[in-house]
Amino acid sequence: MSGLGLFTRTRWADRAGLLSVLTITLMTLAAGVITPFDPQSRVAAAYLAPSAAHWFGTDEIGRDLFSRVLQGAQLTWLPAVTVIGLALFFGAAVGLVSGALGGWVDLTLQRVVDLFLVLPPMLIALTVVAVLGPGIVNTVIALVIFWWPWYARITRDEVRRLKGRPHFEAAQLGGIDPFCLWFRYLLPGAVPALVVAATLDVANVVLAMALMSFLGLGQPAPAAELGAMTARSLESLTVYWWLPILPAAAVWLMCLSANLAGDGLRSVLRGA
Amino acid sequence: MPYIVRRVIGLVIVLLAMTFIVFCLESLVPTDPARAMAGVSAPISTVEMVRQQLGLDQPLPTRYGRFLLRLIQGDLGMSVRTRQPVLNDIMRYLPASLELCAFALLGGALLALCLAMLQGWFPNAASLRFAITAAGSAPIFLTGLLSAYLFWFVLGWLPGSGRLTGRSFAGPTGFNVLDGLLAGRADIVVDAIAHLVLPGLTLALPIAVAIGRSLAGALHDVMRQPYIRTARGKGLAEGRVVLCHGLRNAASAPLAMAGLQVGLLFGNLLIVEQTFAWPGIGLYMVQAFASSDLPAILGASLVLGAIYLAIGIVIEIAQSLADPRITLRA
Repeated sequence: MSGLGLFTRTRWADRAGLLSVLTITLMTLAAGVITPFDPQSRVAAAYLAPSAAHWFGTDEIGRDLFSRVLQGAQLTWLPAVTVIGLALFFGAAVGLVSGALGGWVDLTLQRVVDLFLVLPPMLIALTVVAVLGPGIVNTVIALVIFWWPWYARITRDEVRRLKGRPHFEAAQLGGIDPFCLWFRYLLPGAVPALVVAATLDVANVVLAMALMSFLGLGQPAPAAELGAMTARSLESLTVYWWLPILPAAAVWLMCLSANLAGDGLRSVLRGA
Repeated sequence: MPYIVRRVIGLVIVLLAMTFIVFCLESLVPTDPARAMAGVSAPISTVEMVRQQLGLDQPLPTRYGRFLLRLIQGDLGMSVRTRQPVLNDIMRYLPASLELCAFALLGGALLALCLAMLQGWFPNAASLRFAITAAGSAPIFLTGLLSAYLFWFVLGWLPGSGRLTGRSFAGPTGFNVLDGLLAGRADIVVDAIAHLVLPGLTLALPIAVAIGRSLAGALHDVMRQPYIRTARGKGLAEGRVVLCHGLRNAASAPLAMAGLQVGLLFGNLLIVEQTFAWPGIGLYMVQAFASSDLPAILGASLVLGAIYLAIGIVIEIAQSLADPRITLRA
């Protein structure tokens, strides 16, 4: 499928989602360069309303809120993508081994996957972070531990399905090296389902991280964490609405973009 | 083996795994509990004595065995913050949370039905799909904040804090709506329901979107089957066709989705109880986070985890009731 086909065959919402995900990724990657002000230092009077000079206004000690939200988006989006990347890697590896080998290996690995799938993910991730202490590494580890089983299950089911197909049997009879067999003939079949699930899951991880940050389990205070920024300025909602609302809106935008992009990819890949 | 026996065995294994995770977390904590108990300036010999008294010098398997033994006796340790046994605290706060969750799930299911119907009527409306996705993407603290601001602060239609306004009322079950009914106090029932609406609907929104989308997809497939044409052909009203014939057949995937949503609900519960000052187990956990109250955090997540597992079984049974083709296998 060409890249163009991907665009002409989708609805406007899907296109907006894909474009928005790309924009957010680029903006968060370049956040250090494109923030108009230093997110950590006082640049104007406190509590300035949004204006041309300060797009999102300023916070309680006069820091530029747009710069802080951009930095907060960076601290949420990039770890979220990392979490999904790591979970995809481990999940696909386990799923591939499980599905390709079958037999008792499959049985054992799938019982382990079952075990993780029946535990309440958010609750345990929160508990792990609360006990081990907040920090970006702990958060990423806690989320990866409870996210990989989904991808393991998806990969394994797709691999099992492909193993029954004639093209696999033909390749096997052709004497292709088993390692190559796995990566060239089995794994690619699982990619579409994995890509859709992973894109939608970026939204879930963004929400999970914002939730942790709101509860004070994010990075410590000077860091511009979106959830924590909202949590700290809750009481000023009626006077300085931009302080709690705009960081939360940024979380909303990231999550919405990932959801739309995931829906779009799903309809494209299903139609293909 | 009969279904229920296999399921109980599976449940015991998962519960053991969960207690093992909790136990590992307890031993992974960077601070030394013996040192904490003895005091910062206590000599090494005192710390070692405390360590022996607590059994912390024993090998890990022995300690895990003791931990399980205490757990079976209902001993979740003492809360550092409230200085009460954690189990007592949990029992005090749990009914409020269960009441809220039940309300949220019920509201979520009804909303989901409405959303699925809407999507069924307008299958190609991109703006409707966009609106539903947007509603489902909103972080729970934003929707909670905005609904509290609008309906409580600006309009004053609904209360946005606590479980009852300005009266103390305690019944035998701890569920205010139920207790109000039992005591025959209509004012309590109305007040309790009014307090449930805002936090309940805030929690219900993401659930409704997830279940609604899954239900819309399932209904879309089911409504094209020949038996639906037959039902229409024999002159049944459309509402009856959808609700009695279509819905039952389409219920399986949305029910599974509902089970998943309960897992996320327990995360959102913490935020909503904090936002709406709801005195439940979520608020208890948030306060425990703030004061690093380890026994309370671990005990509360163990209890909520066990409830989640129990709900999983209920969902499976509901699936098999809705669709007899699904046989109950462990």
